[in-house]
Amino acid sequence: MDVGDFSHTLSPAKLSKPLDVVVALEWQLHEDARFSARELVQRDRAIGLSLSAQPNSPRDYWLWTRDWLRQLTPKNSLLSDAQNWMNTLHKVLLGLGLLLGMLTALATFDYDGWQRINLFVVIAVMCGLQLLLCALTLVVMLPARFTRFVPGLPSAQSFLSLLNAGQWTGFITRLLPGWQTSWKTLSQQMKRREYLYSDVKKWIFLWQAQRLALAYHAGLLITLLLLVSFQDLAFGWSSTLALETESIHRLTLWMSWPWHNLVPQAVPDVGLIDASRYFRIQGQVQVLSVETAQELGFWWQFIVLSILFYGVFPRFVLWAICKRQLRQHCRLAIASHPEIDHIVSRLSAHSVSTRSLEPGENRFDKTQDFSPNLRSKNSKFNSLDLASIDIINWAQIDVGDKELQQLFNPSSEISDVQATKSIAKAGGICTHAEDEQLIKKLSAAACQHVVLALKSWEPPLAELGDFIKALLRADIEQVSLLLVAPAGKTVTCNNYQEWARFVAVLGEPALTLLPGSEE
Amino acid sequence: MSEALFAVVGHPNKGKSSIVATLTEDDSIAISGQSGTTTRCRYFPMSVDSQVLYTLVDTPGFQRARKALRWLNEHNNSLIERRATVAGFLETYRDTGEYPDECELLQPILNGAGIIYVVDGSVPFGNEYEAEMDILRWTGQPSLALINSQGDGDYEQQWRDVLGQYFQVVRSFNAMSAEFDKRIDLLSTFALLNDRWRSSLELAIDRLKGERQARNQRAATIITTMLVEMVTHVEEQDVGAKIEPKTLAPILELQYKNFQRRREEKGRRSIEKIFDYRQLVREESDHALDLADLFSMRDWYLWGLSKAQLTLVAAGASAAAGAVLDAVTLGASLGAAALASSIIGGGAAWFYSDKLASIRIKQVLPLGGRTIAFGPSRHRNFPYVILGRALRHLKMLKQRTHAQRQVLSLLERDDGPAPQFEDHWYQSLAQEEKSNLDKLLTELSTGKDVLNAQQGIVKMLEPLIAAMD
Repeated sequence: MDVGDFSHTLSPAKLSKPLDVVVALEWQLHEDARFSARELVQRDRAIGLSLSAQPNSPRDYWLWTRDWLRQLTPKNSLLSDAQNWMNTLHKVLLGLGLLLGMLTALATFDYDGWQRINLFVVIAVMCGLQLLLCALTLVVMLPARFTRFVPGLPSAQSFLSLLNAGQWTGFITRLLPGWQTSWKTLSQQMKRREYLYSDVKKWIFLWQAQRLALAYHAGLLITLLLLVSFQDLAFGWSSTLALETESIHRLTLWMSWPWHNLVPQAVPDVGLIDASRYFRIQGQVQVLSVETAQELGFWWQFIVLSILFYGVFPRFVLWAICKRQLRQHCRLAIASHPEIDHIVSRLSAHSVSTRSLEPGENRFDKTQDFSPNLRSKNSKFNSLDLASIDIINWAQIDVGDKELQQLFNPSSEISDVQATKSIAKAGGICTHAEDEQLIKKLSAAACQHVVLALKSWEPPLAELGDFIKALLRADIEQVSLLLVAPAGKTVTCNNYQEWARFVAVLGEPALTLLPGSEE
Repeated sequence: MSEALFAVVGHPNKGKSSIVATLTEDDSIAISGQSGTTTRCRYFPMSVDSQVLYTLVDTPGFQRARKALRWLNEHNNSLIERRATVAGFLETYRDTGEYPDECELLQPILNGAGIIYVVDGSVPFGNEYEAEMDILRWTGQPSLALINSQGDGDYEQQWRDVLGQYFQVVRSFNAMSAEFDKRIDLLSTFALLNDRWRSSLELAIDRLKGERQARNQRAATIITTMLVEMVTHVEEQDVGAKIEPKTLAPILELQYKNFQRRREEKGRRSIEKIFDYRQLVREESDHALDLADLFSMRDWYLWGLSKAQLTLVAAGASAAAGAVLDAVTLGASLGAAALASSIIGGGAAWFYSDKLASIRIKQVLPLGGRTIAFGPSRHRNFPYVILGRALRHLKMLKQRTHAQRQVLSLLERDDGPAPQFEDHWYQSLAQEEKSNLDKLLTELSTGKDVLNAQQGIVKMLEPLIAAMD
């Protein structure tokens, strides 16, 4: 995907939950790592122009981030995969909760018609245990600013966190197919920012645990209602402790206080409590009358409402708190995110571009080496007899004629007689017409071999190529190029290569590049 | 506001494309030692929020200037018609292929572009340049000459003497080493060519400076985020209850080090992207050969703090803790706690300065087994080393231009002598800043208040990075 194409290829994504925004933000940052700062500014500035005033509060930052991501995030991206995968995880957890609830209900309400279901066990499992777990959850939920003053409480929190059912997500994720794909990348990215997301993670686990608990209670209630509908259940109470009927009645009145006005029939009376007491020693011999059995079944309403008020309701409150806290910490994490200021700055900063809109060109193969073949090239003029050649000083190299002739054969002295042969000038300050005149003159003199002395440091130009071709067209048999370095220097290898390439590109068999003194 | 247009022209292979690459911060522009690399004009519009403020045009070099000048002379009768004659030249040869380079480079000039004429100040002036300078003068457009020295030779004065006869303004500008301020100065010089372009160029300069500041801030955040993630990183492994943690130490340490190397590499790539380096080839550390590797601890004192400095920092921090104890005893300890803590802290830093991190049992798992953890690093020098390496990479990047094509080498030993201590980034901090930095890095290492430490380090790095420009 090209960063500039987003408006054409992407459509707005639905990001209504803060957790989705956090996930989408991390995913977008992962994607944006491929683009340069300037590309990102160009992309985001266009979005920024449609947003409201600069953000000030964590809520503003969240809204800006959400709106920015909504315009960026594609519908069918890997992010959607990650979100779908996260939804699958939620569904698995809910299914697990529902199953656990059903199994617990089947075990607790197991009734074979001979022995009554002990209400103490039911209340202990359905209400007492749940209230205890809720209390422990509250301990885990306490913020660090409170717990740091109570010795041992942070350690207790850490230990209880390990027992939190939300932690199961860690195990479940490894079992689900698709773990190796998008979600793993994303979770690793978030793990690297543990310092930022530690509170978000804590509230995700707590929130997941409350969802699981609500699913668990739903499983309990569904199973209980099915059992009540399709089976006869007889409840009773039994205890080794010498409990009076009155004490139990007070307990049930206290427990049913929340609904005693709404559902009075779900408040057990003394008669029912007295009739419900049983001793196991009677179990095998005591046969209940149909009326008594029917009367004992009335307890189900009390049990259902107890589950609702002491199991479901506290969990629902905790779920709401967790959800609110999760949303708040997601917003705080976004506002404190190390990248957020830059995103906001990109959305509000001017978009600067200096790049060309046209593609560049690359004509040459940098790896091609031109020099070796040309340097070993032989010709009948390799002896370079000064008497038989004409030298042209191209573009007026600042050296005397004698020095120039000396370059042909550095090991021997050039006599004054040899040096008297004048060196012609072309190129440079000479006009184009003068160059043409020189070619005519050389042709008329039946010149066979021309040596062009060239500035090695200057690049070969097309006009030199034209001049060489004109020389060859004028029946000059051989043209050689002699590279001259600036005073006090030698011809560099790069310069030599450049000129060798020029000779190769011209492709004239009668053109050679003379070996010179090189670095 | 009038949109400015500048054609970068000259002899082939004199660094026209290098100048454009440096000014546009575009390292994708083809640059080579071979002449004739550019054959077509390429336009580089500088725009702010889609409004073009100026455009640079990279052009091919003159190839047949004398022949073109001959044509111009033959077809011109008066000074007043010179520009029209150049237009006639283009009209005659545009599609013939006889003067492809001249037609290509003269077109934007006749369209109103200011002339930026580029020469190489490291080679001598030659007569062959006169024809092209004459042609440019014939166009009548405002012009400026840039002396871009590409080699060791020094012929700048010679060039100045010649160029002064042809151009309104002559400036030296090295496309390979021009830092941000010099690039901005050059853009200011462009404004001298035409008053109509002044306001758009001033706005462009203002926006480029703003963008540079934002990039510096971004670099500070990226380095800090990398520092936080590296310092707080923990390598974890869930194992059975019977496995001895120490047996896992070498594996976890290897994984820990690999993570750190990958994270550092990722940080470097992010920094390079901020400054628009897309084609950069970096010669990175080779941990197999122990060349400038992150965990080559003998080099740590080059990047981070020296052993003596480290001991002083540790002693200072311990003394502060001891002073609290003295305060609790209402001075009854006569400062003994501060002194003792300082000696113990400093001594520990000296003697245990080679230990990176330790292995520990992080937690006992509810369903059996344990989580074994390696890290986070408690080594006092580790955050300084990460910072030192990141700042050096950033500095090298900032000293580079987008015209350079050679490898960015971070191999200290192959790159001449090690950085001198007086150049060390830590030395540029004031004493108060050093103490503050140590406090923030301690907060980071201990994981006490990572977010606060992160914000503090970003604020501290911003001026340090801005000063590199």
